Amino acid sequence: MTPEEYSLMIRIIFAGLSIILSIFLGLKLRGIITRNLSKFGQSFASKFAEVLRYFLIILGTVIAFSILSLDVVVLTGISIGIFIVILISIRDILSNYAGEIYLRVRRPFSEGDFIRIGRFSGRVLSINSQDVEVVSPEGERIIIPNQFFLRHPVINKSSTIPTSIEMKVVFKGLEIDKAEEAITEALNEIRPELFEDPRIISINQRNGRVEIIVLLHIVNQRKIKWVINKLSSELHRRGVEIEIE
Amino acid sequence: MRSIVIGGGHSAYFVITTLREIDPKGKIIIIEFTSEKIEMLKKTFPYAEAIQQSVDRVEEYIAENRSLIDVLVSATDSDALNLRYAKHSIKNEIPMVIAVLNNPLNEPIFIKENIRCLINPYKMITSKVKEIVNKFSVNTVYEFSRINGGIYALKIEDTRILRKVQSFILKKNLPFFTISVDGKVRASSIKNIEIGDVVYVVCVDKNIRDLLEKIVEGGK
Repeated sequence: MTPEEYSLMIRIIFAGLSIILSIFLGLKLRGIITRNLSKFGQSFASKFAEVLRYFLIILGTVIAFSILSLDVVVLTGISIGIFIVILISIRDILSNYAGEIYLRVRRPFSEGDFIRIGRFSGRVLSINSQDVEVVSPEGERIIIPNQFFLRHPVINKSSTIPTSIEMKVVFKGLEIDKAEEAITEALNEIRPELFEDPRIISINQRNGRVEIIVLLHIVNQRKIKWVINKLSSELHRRGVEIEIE
Repeated sequence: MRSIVIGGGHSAYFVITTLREIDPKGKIIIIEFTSEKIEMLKKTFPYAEAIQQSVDRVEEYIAENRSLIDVLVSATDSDALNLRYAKHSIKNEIPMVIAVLNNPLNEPIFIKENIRCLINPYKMITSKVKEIVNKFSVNTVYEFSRINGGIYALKIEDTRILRKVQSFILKKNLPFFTISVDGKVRASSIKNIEIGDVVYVVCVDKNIRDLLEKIVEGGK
């Protein structure tokens, strides 16, 4: 091994040690800072610690490059490489920030609105820099990354209160007249919980089954399940066998 | 529609009768704190269900019935309670939460707390006094609750204001009608607007603010 190669190897080892040390110190400092600054809020403390950790890593990398004493072309190449790697690794974060800008500028919905995006729906609790917090009609808390709003159409249902739901009630072994009478009576029982009078859209008889499609207008969407159960129990109470689709 | 009205005072009376009018088959539940008022409410509103609850248990009731309540109107005689119940209802995701103010000076507090549907019965006083005395530049006749807009009355006091109002209506293509000095209602062309007329326009509040600025600027 020539003296130049030996010197380069020593420098590479020291440069590596510098990066490892900065990563180690960053991790240690993150824990200490998060603990000591938590009185200012957990979110603030963790963000501050994270920034400091990245600063230490960058500092360690810079020291490593200075130890390696590479020429300008190599340094530029490495810098571009690092920049691209960073961009790729934080592309989701950047995309979420872009999503936040879209949400703040375009304002497709506000906190408290009932929205539907993709297969998720619920009431918006908060709009944050990285995500939107939503509570589903079943009470589940859903965190939707902001970038999701750039890729999927949003339906703001708050402007269309109440919600109209179509329901197919299938009666087995019952005449059309009797089925209509039974459904009308049952709908009258649930009427006080609806926004306006329910409507029978269609009545069909197929293979000995009567299919009735009804339209219900409901303000509180968490009530849908309750209304269906109530309707079903009202019909069962009348001795009518049904299936609800 | 299941509506909950908290309170049994004057405000609540108007709320309950209106809810009954708009949804005669709906369910109205009144929550009151005193047994004397409960008896009175049962007689006054036989179609509604009156429940007695202590002040501190109302929130519990809201939380228990959050999946069934469609509309909640907080109309007690205390703004502090109205704010407390409205905030709790919003937190419990009741779809429509309405608060009725007792003191109009408390309005900013409710707005700050994100109570969007706020009824300030005293707002009409300003509008009515202006209309009766018939001395104003712009009078807010009615403000919509669901959009930032309303019906505004513009008084044409001179040719400068006449020109501004004409160009404003033409530019924004706003629906309007005029009431002349002798009390006749006209809904014709903007060319027929005369000095002394009151022009009623429907527009968003930003538009009316822009017009007001122009009138004031021109006056300077």
